[in-house]
Amino acid sequence: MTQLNEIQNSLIAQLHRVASKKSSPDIIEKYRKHILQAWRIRVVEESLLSLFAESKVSGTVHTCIGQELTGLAISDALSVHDWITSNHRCHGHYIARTGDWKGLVDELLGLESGVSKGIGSSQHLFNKNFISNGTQGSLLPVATGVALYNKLKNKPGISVSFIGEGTLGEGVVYEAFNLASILSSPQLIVCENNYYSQSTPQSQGVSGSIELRAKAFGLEYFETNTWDLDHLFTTCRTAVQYVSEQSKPALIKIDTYRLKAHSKGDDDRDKEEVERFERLDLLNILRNNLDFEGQFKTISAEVQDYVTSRLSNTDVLNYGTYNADQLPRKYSNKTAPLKNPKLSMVKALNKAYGESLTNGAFFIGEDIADPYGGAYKITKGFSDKYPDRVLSTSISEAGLTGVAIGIDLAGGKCFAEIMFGDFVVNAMDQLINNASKFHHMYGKQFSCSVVIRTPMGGRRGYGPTHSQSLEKFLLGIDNTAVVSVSSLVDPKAVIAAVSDLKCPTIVIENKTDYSTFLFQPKKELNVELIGGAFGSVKIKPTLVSPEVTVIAHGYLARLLADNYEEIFQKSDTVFEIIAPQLLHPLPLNHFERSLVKSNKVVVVEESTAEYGWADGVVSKLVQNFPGISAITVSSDPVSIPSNKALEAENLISLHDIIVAIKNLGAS
Amino acid sequence: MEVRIPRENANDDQVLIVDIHRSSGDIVETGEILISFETSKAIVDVPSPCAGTITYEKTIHKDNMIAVDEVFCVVGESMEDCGNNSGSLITIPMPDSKPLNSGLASDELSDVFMVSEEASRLLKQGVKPKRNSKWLTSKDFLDAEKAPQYVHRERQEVKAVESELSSVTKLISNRKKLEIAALNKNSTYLNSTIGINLEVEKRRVSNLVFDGMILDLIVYEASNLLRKLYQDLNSYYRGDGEVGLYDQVVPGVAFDSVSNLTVVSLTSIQTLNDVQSALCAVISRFDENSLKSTDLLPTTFTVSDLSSSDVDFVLPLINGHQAFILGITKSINGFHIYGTFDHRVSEGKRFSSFLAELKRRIELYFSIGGNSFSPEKECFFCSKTLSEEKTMGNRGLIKLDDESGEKLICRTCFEGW
Repeated sequence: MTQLNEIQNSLIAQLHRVASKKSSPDIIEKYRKHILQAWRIRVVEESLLSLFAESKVSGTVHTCIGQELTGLAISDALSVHDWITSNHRCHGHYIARTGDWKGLVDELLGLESGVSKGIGSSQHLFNKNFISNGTQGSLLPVATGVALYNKLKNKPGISVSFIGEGTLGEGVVYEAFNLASILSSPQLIVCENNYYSQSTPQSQGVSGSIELRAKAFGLEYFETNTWDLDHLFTTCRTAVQYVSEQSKPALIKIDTYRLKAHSKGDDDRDKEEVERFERLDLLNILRNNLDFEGQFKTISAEVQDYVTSRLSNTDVLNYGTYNADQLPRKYSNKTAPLKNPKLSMVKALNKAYGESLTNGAFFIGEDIADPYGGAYKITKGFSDKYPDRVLSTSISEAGLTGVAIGIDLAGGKCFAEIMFGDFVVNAMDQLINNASKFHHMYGKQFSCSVVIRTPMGGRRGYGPTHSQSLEKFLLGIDNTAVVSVSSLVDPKAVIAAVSDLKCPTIVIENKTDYSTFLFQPKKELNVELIGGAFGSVKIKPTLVSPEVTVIAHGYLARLLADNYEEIFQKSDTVFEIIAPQLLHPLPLNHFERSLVKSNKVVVVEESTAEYGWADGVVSKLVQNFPGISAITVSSDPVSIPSNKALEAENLISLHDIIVAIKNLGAS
Repeated sequence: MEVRIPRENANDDQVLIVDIHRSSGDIVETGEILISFETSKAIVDVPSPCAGTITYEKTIHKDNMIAVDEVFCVVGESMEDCGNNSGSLITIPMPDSKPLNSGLASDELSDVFMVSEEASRLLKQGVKPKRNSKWLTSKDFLDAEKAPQYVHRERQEVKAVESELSSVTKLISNRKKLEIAALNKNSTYLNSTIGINLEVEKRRVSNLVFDGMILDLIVYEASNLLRKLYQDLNSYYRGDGEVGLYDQVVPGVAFDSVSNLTVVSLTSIQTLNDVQSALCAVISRFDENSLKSTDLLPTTFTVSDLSSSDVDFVLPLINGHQAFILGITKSINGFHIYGTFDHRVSEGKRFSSFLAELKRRIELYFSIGGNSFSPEKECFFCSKTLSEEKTMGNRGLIKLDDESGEKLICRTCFEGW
């Protein structure tokens, strides 16, 4: 027998001793109401398992049979203002908090009357201030943000986050612990310790001590179990009170044991061990108790009748009303001359974001508070003015993005800065599995309008992990807009428009562009903005029609505009630059007039070649404007060297663009 | 050679200049695009009809409106061939030129702002460009048409059909000439508008599109009258004492959206059913912005229906080559019909008679006692309607029952031709 098995056996033996302590009849009577509700949760779970076994529902389910009392004990201590975030094993938490067992059944049956209108199913439930998601730990920082927002706004309401002990393997958990502690967010983390993560025993999945983890981050620690009824409810109440009154985070570990498989049939635990805990299970003991038997039967019949009655229902959500996204897809074609104030880009961004701050938005990021004011000084002066709404955090991209999402969820508007675009990958789970999904997977009950802003780009010798342009990984995420700002046009209007969007938005800035002054049109170049706030900049020479259309965004577009004459002279081609600010969705009609004249397009970007933004643009253009000739130019697909000379060879250059324009123009 | 703004569709009398590709003094090739303008439906390029030097007749700017058919430039062999006697060849204002970066003499190609390296190399070799361009490239030295080949992309597929309706010439009488001359002394506007009121109650229709409307009835009955009794009104004034009598009746219906007034033609309409079907189809296409070219054929008279708005008066203007136009508005007790006619083609009394007959026929559809007059009642053999039968002095259509079932027959057909 391996050492880890020995440890696990020891833990289980210890748990068994705890579980063997029986609650007295007085205590049982005291908690009769909760026991009956626990029975209801169990019957619902068993019904759902039966439906799966009979192939009447598809997908998956993670029942909480054996653990019903944790959700009830916590919910008993909460007020209506308190939030709950839960995980894949959320049914018990949901029913305990909301009482909406019928909505849960309908949800698993895929009906429109379900909690999330049949879209989210078992793991993705949303009802007022209850939210669950299937990805482990991802809602923890979101809950941190929710509680923090309420605290900063002097509103009542803590947040409670249910996790299993297996989730303690996820890094974002510790980011949330750290942020909750530093920001003093009134968040209670409930760790349901059932000693198994799917098929992995705790001894193999969780090293060290759960208690010491919490204490290491300065979290107050509580501990209880689901067999000692009075201790369970009392300790939960104490923990909730602590968090509410002290306005500080805490962790409560609740020892328990799941009596069924992790999901449906995947249970390879020792059968004898499981049976031992089944015999100790309070509901199993009371099943044949005359004081409870009758009511148990009534509840069972009620649940069974309801489930049976819903099986024939086929009212599912109309897909046509579901699949519309919230992206800005209506683009004006109107052109207007472009006039920029005489400002540097950093000042222009500072002003633009400052407007949102004045309008009540939150800003969160690493080192963004004064006097530092952010790595690139975009947020300089913000925290001096509004210290409560400018949050400088530890180095926790996932954590701070989650907090931003939580602030948004609780009713605020939040701009999260990722210091370098290269680090945005640390926040991908928050972006893809939380922010982008929230609107649709909960049946369109609410919107998440968080804004993530980050500078991309090289040409400063910062090397491979501080110079990248990673737009390609951010484009096409469902329901998530991507905007690229540049010094070609004052970002004031587009930032204001982004602030009004209901969907998550990623704003891509450029480090090199920060120090540039806003573009001042030259006399011989006609500079217009097509389409208003989300418009595209068009630059063309006066009194001559373009032979080639050049599409670029961000700093590269500015580079082209600044060097128009040189590019013209060397390429021997009259060309027109169109620089969209909206990368996704792409405003195709902004290119139409130019392509009608030129029929040739060069799309350039600083990102690496293949499957990038430029490829995507060409694909769309070719489909919508048949007969055009199109090529792309981008950087080499290898790590960007720090050596400036080598960096210049690696990144897309003016020479590359000139060659492309010249060749296409001559073809 | 004069270059005019072409008419691209029946509705736009003015268009918006969106691009000026060549400047005054430029040497252009045949087919080279001079300007681009935007109609209500598409962006259109105007190519040069010949090779030569371009001279703009007047100052034109991007984003200015210009009238259709206006001569905006002349393309000739040289400046002297322009034939412009105005004495002021005002051209597009040129921005300040920068010193050239080539080995050019500054008095040559003074309009050029920038020269590409290739073009500079050619200039230094003594090659002269074929075209004068602000941004000179090697392509300006080629004999072939300078790239790019412009693709004319229409935003809509609709283009007005250019065919004209055939007509027979009729000379107006001397008396009419004198009348026109007398009218001309005081005004160049030679139209009059006459109004007539229809006292009718609510119409019962099976097609709810026409509930509360009489547009279909007006179109149908006016067409019938023009075919049979008032052919003289199915005409237009040609000028020089000539009136053109159309040999077919093609009604037009004016549709007005916020940005666009369109007159659609209804063709192949014989019965009221045909009129209703055609109207429904064309309304649908107009709303969806998908009118076809066959919806925009030339028409011989026009009806403008404002009965769905709150106005009670309209002074409709005659549309193009037509003798009259009818406007419909609501009145307290039914509808007003306002007809504007061309004095050069008709008389007030004649036109009043037309309106009165039209009114009488329309009112038959709203028969007293709530008894809905079925417009479909017509002789199965000759399609004469009940109203026409009554006009001829007969009491009505006769119900005939034979082996093929019950039908209606007029007296003439019953008694045999």
